[in-house]
Formats: sequence, structure tokens, C-alpha cells
Amino acid sequence: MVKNKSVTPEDVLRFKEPTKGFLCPLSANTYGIEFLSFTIKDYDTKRTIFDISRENAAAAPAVTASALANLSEDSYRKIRYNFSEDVLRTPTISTTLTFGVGDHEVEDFRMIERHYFRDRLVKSYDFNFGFCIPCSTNTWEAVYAVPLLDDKLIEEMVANPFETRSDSFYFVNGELIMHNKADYNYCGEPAEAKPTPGTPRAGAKAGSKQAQGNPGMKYAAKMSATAPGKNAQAQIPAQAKAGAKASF
Amino acid sequence: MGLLTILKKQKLKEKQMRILMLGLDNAGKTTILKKFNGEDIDTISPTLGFNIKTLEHRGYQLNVWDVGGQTTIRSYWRNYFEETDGLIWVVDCADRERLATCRDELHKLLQQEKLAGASVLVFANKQDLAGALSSEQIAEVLELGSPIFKNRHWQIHPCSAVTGDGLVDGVDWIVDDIASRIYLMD
Repeated sequence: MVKNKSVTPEDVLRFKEPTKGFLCPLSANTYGIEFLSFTIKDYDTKRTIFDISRENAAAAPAVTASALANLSEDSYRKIRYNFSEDVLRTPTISTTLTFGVGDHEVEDFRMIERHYFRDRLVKSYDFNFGFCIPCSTNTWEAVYAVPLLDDKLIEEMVANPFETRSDSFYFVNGELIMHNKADYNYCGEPAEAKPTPGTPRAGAKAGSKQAQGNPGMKYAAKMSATAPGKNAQAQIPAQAKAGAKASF
Repeated sequence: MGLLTILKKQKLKEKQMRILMLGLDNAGKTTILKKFNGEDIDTISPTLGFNIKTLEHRGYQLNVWDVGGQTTIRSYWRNYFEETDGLIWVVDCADRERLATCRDELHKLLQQEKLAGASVLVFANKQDLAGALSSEQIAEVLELGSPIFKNRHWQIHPCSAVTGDGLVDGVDWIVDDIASRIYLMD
């Protein structure tokens, strides 16, 4: 594993393909930043496409501590998603992320998310939350038009399950403190969106036809090793002042 | 980096605005934000941190920062001043007892150097409540005619976050004002 101190925002903004492993340990999150809920909606119809929170995670079948102990650290930070193809064509989406912060100030909190199809960068998001108040609960909602993906690319994504991937990097003061990964399967037929069995997670609920999708829109949810059943982690794309950009 | 790339980047940046929404606790900041965006406002609890909303409005990307207004949180407001293009100050017009505090907090903000260039929209909220002061009365109580407003772009708009009345007018004004002040119009 690469030392997290050596990874800068500029570095990850140059990445052209998914990283081989995680670029920081789980223990790098010394700020107690916790993702509490994450929701994806079709903005026009208000239909909930995906929703996970601590509450519904807690209600899901518990994974025992011993089972968790047998999983590698990495498995907590990696998730697979199945979505239906139509999410790749949803015109406007809103995503809402709620996160909590520990009892210290967090300065310059920034998220960079890179989405790839195979070895090609499909999108890159960069959002700067800036300062976070100690012991605060914060939400960030982004409403945006889904960038058009050409039909050929969508076809290829559907034909190649889990070759659409993302890396989400979270920095505080330029230091990498969290790194999560996700990969995505898009079904050609409308299907129930659900994470692939075997990935530790809990409580994600998704309506039928779900799929959330443009590769920018996925998110991952999973349980943390330290707080089984409590810690839903969500990743989302972002567009923001600090340099929203979409690369094709 | 080619010139064209630089121009394009500049262009992209120009379409973004950072708007900071502040006011005393229970003024209705989060409710305004949600109502403006067509969301359910039945289950809003005090904001113990911030709510950021990134949304498209009339061709601009607005990044609206709604920061909690409780006394303990107010000391952190200064961390959100940087790069603010517009300040929305929300007033609970029915909270007569705290109008003096409301005025003092607003005047403190206006003395902040980092907010010197920001357009200021005062939302005279809760006009749907029977005991609410009118926006004219609020303008007087907040001393909007005082010298610290003299060289600043500001307006006061009556509104009701619950009914939605006045919200679009107010936001349109501040967006137009920022656009004309900061960016070259297309």
C-alpha cells in the first residue's frame, strides 16, 4: 500500500485508470468522518432510485462481528452494484449525502471521484466542502443534468459488467484520508437494483428499475469494520465550484 | 495548456456562484432552500452544521451554503465567507424579541472584509404568520438605510418559506445582481 501522505489531489486528478489497491488505510480517517446516508433521486419525477442510511442499515440482517473479522479491510471499501440501463439515460438526478464529523474541526475537506470504463476515464468530479464544524452533521445535495453518454458507450457498458469502475478519494488539507471503490453492472432489462451478494453491506433499498446510473452516479454503500451495521459509506459524484469538470 | 482550453475553463468558472445563507436559528434557512427546490418541508430539524445545495438556476450553477444559526455555531460562520458572491440573510419576522440580535449579527457580517463584495438579499420570512412584521418594518429595524449599506448591492424581499411566496423573486434578484456585477453578461 502506498503511503497516503504521498498521494495528493493533483496526483489522483491525473489517474487514467482505477488504482490497483487502496491508497490509504482505513485508519487514515482520523477525523471521524462518517457517511450517514446517501440518496439518489430522479429529479424530475422525485422517484427515489437509491437510498441508504444508518437507520435502514441497522434494520438489515446483521453481519456478525466474527464474520466481519474474516473479511479483509479492503472489502469494506469496495462494492459492486447492479443497475438497470435506463439510469444511464435519466436526464436529471439529485444526490444527497449526509455525513458527520468528529469532535475536531476539519479544514478543506474535498472529494474527488474518478469514473472509468475499462481503461478509459469517463468522468471526473471534484467538490470542495471546505470547512466542517466539529461534531456537525452536514448534507450536500447536488442536482444536475446527467451528461449524455453516447449509445455505443452505453451498449459497451451493458455488455461488460463490472468493467465500469470508480475510485472516490477524500482529502483533508490535501492529505488522503479515505479511499473507496465501486464497480457497476448495467442490465439491459429493467431489473431490481441490488448489490451483488457477497459484498458486505446493509440496508440499501432501491426501487425497481432502478438503476442509477450514469457512471457518474453510482455510489457505494457498505459497513465499516469498526462499527458493524452502523456505518454506511456512500460515494457520490460531484460538480462544484472547486472545479467541476467532466472529462470524456 | 492552449489558449482555448484556458478560455473554456474560465467560462465554466464564470457560470458558478457561491451563495451563503445565514440568519438566526429558526429563521427558516433550510426550509427556504428546500422549498425553493420543490422538496418536502415537513421534517426539517435544526441544522447542526451545513447544508449545501448545488443546483442549476437560469443557466448558472448555484452552490448555496446554508449554515446553522444557533449561537454556538455562529462563531464558525467566518469559515464560510471565502469566495462568497452573495449573502442571503434570513429573518423570522414574527420573532420580535430577537430582532435586535438579528440586526447586530447582520451588521457584524457586513463589516467582514471577505464579504465586502457580496450582494446581500434579506429575506423577510414567515410573512404567512399573523404576527409577522412587514418587510418595510424589518428594513427599518435592521437599519438597512444605515451607512454600511451605502455602497453595497442589497435588497429586501418579503417571503414565506412555507407557501413559497417570494422565494423565486428574491433568488432571481441576487443571481441577476451577481451576474451583472461579477461576470460579463453574454
